[in-house]
Amino acid sequence: MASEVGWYLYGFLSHGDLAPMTGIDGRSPLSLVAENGIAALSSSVSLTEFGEEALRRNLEDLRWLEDKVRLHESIVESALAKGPLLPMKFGTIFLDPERIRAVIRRNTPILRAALEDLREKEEWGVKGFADPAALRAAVLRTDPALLALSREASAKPPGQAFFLRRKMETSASAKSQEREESFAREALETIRETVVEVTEHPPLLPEARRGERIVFNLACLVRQEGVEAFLAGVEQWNQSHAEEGVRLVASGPWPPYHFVPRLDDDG
Amino acid sequence: MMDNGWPASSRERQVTLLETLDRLLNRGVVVAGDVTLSVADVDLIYLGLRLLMSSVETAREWGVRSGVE
Repeated sequence: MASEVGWYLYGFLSHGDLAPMTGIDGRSPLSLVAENGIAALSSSVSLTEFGEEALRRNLEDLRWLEDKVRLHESIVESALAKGPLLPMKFGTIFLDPERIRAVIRRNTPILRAALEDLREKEEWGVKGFADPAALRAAVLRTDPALLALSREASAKPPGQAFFLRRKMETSASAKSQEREESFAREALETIRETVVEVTEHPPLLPEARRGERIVFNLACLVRQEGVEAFLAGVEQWNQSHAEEGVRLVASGPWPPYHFVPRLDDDG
Repeated sequence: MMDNGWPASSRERQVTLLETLDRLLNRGVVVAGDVTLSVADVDLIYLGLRLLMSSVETAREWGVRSGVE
């Protein structure tokens, strides 16, 4: 019995230059479903693996998910190497290519404008990490008011010194918090200077090194010709804050997942 | 060349997977296909990932504590 077939979508593009790759099932070739000069990059998938119920079951298998996510990503990246592409959310499957053409027809101007906008631009991620202990140590080391308190405490008898030190600790906590916030603002300003657009997103899962926490998570749209300056800016920021318990980590280039348009989704 | 660019160490792999998943599951063009992931599906995936991440973390800490390089 031939299994039923669906069409898995990877993205929309305006060029017809296809890398000779297999699709997300590891077997079927990539193909284009084209309409109005825009094409959906897709490949056929068996519904015994990607049908509604099968997909739900497979999603619980992290090994399957990891494999498919990596395939989806590498297919998108190789198509993106040849021109702009609007990447799809993972797991969009049509049963009839005619319905894909209808989506393109309904959204042709939006898709065309977005593809034009994203030409020669890349998405980069920037995360800000803080090490609270190192941040606090830096505050205690450098804040004039806290240094004065510390000196004063050293000169007083133990009873008074205890209260002065306690005051110093409380003040150090508040100042560490302030400094973390001002670092985040400052970093964002630095990054803004070298990118086209920045959006901030909640960090979803713990992923910092031990002792650190993630303070912010940015998605940046960067002109390809400006990537070097963007990365140099991040590096320079890290160097000038090396002793202060904060650092930036850039990742990319990514397909422009955070900078795709919203489509008219009726029908 | 499917694995091109994916780091080799287990932890790095997990972090890269996480970043990729974050983008693929929550961003990208949303179209009402005949089969699409629901919010509940995505939540379920994150639940599984949290478990995975915490077990990676535990294994790593155990390795550090027992003096494994």
